[in-house]
Amino acid sequence: MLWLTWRQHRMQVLLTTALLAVLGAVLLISGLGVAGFAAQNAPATDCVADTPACATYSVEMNERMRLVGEVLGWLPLLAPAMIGAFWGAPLLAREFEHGTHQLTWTQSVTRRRWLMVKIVGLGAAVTLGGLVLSGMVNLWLAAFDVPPYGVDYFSSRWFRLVGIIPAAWWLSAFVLGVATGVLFRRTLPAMAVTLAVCASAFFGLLKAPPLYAEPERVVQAEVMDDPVPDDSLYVSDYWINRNGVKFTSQERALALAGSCGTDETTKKYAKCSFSLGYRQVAEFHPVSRFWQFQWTEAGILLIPALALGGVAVRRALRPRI
Amino acid sequence: MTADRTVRMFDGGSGELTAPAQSPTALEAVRLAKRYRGTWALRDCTLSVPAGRVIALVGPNGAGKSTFLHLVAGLITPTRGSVRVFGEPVGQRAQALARVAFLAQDKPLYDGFTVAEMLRFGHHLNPGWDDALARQRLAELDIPLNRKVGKLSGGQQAQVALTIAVAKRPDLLVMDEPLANLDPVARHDVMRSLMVAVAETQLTVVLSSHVVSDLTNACDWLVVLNRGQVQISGEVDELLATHRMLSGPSELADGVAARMQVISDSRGERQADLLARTGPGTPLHDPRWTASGVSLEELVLAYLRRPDTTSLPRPALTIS
Repeated sequence: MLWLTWRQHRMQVLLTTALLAVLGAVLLISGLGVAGFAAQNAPATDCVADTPACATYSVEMNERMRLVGEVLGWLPLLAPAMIGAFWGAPLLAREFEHGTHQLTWTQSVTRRRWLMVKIVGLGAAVTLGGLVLSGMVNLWLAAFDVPPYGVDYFSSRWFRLVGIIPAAWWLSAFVLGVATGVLFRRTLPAMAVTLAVCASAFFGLLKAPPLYAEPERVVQAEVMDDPVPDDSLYVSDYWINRNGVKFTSQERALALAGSCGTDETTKKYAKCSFSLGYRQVAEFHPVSRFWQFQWTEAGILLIPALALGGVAVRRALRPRI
Repeated sequence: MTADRTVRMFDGGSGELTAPAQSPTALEAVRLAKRYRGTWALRDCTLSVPAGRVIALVGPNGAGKSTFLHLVAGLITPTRGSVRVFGEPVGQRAQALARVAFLAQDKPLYDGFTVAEMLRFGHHLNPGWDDALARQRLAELDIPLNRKVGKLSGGQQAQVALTIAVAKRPDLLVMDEPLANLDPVARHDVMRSLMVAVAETQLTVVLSSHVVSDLTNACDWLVVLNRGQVQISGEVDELLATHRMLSGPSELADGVAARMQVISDSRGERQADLLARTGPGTPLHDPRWTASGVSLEELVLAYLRRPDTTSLPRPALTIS
């Protein structure tokens, strides 16, 4: 059975492995370059942000991150869609389409065992692929994480490329593809629906992570440094007045124009606004919630996908053709 | 045939042991019925066929032939009734699957596999796989093992599919329209190679066709399915021996018809032709009447035109 699974799906396995290998090579070269650059050029960790030494370093690091980062930015959308469409959808749909299920289901291996080996075997491979991707991205990002430059793993830019989220997306998309294959029994419609559902899920969840928990809230009543830690996940900031009424920055500027003037960048302006009872509120998720959020998103994806997969497997196991 | 016939039994799919057959009945259906979305594809099919036969399943399109064969292969479950193959129920268990080989209508194979890979497929999925038999058959047929299945001719694909079914070493080989979509030469070759396999392995075979002439020479048991019911089930020789075409003057036809079961009745102005079920020695009394043998095709056609007439063996009749 393992041989058959490999023989029927080796194209997908080899192609995915090759793409991961190419990406790995690119990340390795880029990462080594960055590590070399950082070792030679990193200024003192406590350098002041706007001084030339500090700024040059940050600009160079940003530049080195940009190109590869843009390619990586597409992966959270493209990779699961491709996995669902090319690993999942054809798994059963192709058999139904060509009638080969009638051949395979009348050999001496039960339908249940055949299906389990395929789904578990390929599902494990897909999960492994997702973990390899996140491992590689993690190592690459670690090369940039040389102070004073910092990598914000919690930001939406990297959140879906590290930890368990790539694996969760890949596995869910695979199971979704298998399920649509059972439902439609034809490869192309199953692939199309899988792509569409993957894309909708991606855009639906794009801005969702800040909602995965109640954000922490700091109220600022005097002039101070940014109270939100750098590595946390920003949610929102706004102003409230003495009575707790919310103001956006513009509304506050309008309300203060008479008493504090219009130059919002000065300390005097800030002091003036605080003295009039205005308070700045920032909402964010501390970095300690990183894994909680990773697992939350994994659950949001995997629970419905596995439920759908269960329904599809039951349907495929029904004694009909 | 068949006191020494053995039935292979599998112990959880791994250990294999053989035991003498308890029943000489290869295929037994009892009140078998299948309904699809409110339509009965098969109604109350009851039949019993002894081992070692090549059974022709004949009937018009939509008679329920494929449904019947899918039930025998365990691909679908009956709405009512049961099917047994060599006394054991069919279905989705490994040991039940191992006993029956199935060749579906379009003879599906994995087009991207080479012939050798198709053999490997059979080997991996069947504990009783006979690799030597498979390779020998393909060598005799000059089918190259390294050729992709999708690049073979239709006849060669049919031969590969048949080889896989035979090398599984089933007790019963079920084939749904094995000759459809084949040219006359390929039909002949496939049939001949099937007969060789039957002779070598003592298989019991069920094959369906809506073309009776395809099966005349090869089959020794006939089952006619019409409108989802079994109309005839019997040994071909016996059926031919018990049916006669009677020809004589039209004016006397009523009298003759009253004495025997008439399947088809065509009367002209002067002469009447009655296809009747008779014993070989049934006297005609009247010298103006002549009796002649019928062909299998005439017999099947006559029955198909009269769906309410049946010719079935007495219950529990088995030949041992």
